Amino acid sequence: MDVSINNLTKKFGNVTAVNNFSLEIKSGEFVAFLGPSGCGKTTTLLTVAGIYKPNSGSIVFGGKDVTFAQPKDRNIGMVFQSYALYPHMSVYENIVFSMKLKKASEEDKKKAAQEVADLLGIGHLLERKPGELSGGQQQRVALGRALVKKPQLLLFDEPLSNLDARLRISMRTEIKRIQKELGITCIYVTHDQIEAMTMADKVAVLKDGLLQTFQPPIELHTHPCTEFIGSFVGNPPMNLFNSKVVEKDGDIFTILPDKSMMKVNKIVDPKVYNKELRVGIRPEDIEIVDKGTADSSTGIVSLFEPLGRDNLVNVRCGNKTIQLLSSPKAGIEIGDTINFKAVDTQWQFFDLESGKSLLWHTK
Amino acid sequence: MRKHKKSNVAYYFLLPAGILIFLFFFLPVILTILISFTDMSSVTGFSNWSIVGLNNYFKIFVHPDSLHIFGQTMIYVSCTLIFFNVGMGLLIALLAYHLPKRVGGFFRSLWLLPRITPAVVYVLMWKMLAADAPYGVLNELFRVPFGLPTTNLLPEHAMLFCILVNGYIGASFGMIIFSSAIESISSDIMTSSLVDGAGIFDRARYIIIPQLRWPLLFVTTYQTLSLLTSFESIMVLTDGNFGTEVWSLWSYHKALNNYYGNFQYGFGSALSGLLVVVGIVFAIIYLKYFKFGELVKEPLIDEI
Repeated sequence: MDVSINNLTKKFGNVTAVNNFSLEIKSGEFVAFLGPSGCGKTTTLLTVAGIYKPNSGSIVFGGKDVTFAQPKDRNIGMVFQSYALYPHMSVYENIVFSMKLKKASEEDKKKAAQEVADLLGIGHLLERKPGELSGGQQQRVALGRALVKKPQLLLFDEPLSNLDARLRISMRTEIKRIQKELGITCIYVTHDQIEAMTMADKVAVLKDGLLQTFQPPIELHTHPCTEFIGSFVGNPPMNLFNSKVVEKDGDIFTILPDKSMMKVNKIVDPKVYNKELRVGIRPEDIEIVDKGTADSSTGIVSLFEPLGRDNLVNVRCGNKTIQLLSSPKAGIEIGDTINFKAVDTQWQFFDLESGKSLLWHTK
Repeated sequence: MRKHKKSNVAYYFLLPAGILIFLFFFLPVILTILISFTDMSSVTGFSNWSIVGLNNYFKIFVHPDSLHIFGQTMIYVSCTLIFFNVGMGLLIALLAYHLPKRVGGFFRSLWLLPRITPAVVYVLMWKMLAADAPYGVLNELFRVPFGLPTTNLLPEHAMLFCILVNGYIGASFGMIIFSSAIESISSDIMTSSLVDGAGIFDRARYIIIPQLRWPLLFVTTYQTLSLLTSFESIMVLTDGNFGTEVWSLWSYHKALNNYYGNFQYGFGSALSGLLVVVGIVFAIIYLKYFKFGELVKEPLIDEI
């Protein structure tokens, strides 16, 4: 089912939680709402669910305006961070609750419950109460409860945030598998960019109630169209500093905080020279070089964090700290002086005032 | 290494409260029951009484008033409990939850007024409400304008007024307990049930009320016991006339305040003692009915 959200605005008193938000979701698409806490993503989701009524704007499900329809008339499923299972009902009763309200027959209920239980591997838990289940099991039951209605739209509100790291990864895969298998349109709210990147077909990034961008996850990483997206998406986060781009002998360079110059490839030419702007480079796009060259920089290692596969190295560069990734085999220690150089095609440039990218203009 | 000895400190901390409970709650019950085995009264005085065993209880059993006073007590307790202390309390709590926060709060605090009004003043207000025209509000406003005959409504509907007077005080207790219990249900569960297709009535029936089992048990038990034993507002309202003599008031009348001036301490104590037994029986029935054992059962959690 296609979902379109048109100029949605939701205010709580004087606070505008969602500001003129528009989005077109195609049938079968998995869309993530990504943003820091308080950015309005959950408010948008609850408005789509019909729990909140918007101050203005409309929500259209498959050509039908549902802006003011009751939640029960929307045929949606919802999964919560807190699982929100009904504590006084058994797993089976939880799953078939929506069918009970529709006065479905015992047989239909049993059959439907069996189907989702098989899909999610929770068949052996049907007689238990939610209090007798682990977090992962509860989340599966919550998913089953949402799926049993055969919803046309599935809403997730940070469903994996309460699970431990390992379980989160496996549930991530599982949700993705089920979504593809059933072809349900999904909206998935998260503040975890890895979840958004790995699961979603398209990611809507929100900040202060405003939609920043709506694009496929990989583009989000390579073509951040605002400074906020650049800094929010990607782990470890992008290095950002104020600087200029200068032209010299037909080549262009950017100046690092320690006044050294690094080359900028023409394919990422911001076309704004000698003017203060915001320069970004991701830690994984900086490499350590043995010998200092004309377009490398030098700095002292102030800290490093072993991440397993890589080490995250903090280097003092002028008055700023630059983060870069190095191989654990490189044997770098705190206090070492190292030479480093950026991959010249990976620079990002943003306007200082508006924060908009000088390279990419997708919306 | 010194072996760790189980500490007795906890008992010392419990001692002050323990002494108070023993002195003011436990001892009076024992004394009452002991007195109920005697024929102590104004006639015998405090020196010439003798032990009569279960005689007083036997007297209750054959007393011509026992049965209908017991019946009146049951009507009074059950109606006040079902329609007000639990029913109305639950209804107000549910209504207030669905109102905007400030309106709901105001609505709830209105219901606290009867509780904070001095009992005698409050009961007198009811008396004036029921009184004959031109003083009685009900008569003056709803009967006089329509040319209907007026009368003092209190003697005609004495039991109804007893229930109303107590109910309007009692409802606020349940309301407070139920309101806080409803507020403590997670908002995700509330949202989830709406998404699952419940309207607000279905949600109240299938989601909210079942989760109020423990507060329901508490309010029902507590209020049954207090309704069985409290009689002050009935005393001020009708003094047990017009078929409103309930068991505890009967006990009071027998033991401490009666027309004939012969205060039958022994017989009155037996009436009270029986009330204690009835209260305990009710409490046990409630605990069984609400499956209290299940409520305090430890959860079992296993691995994924």
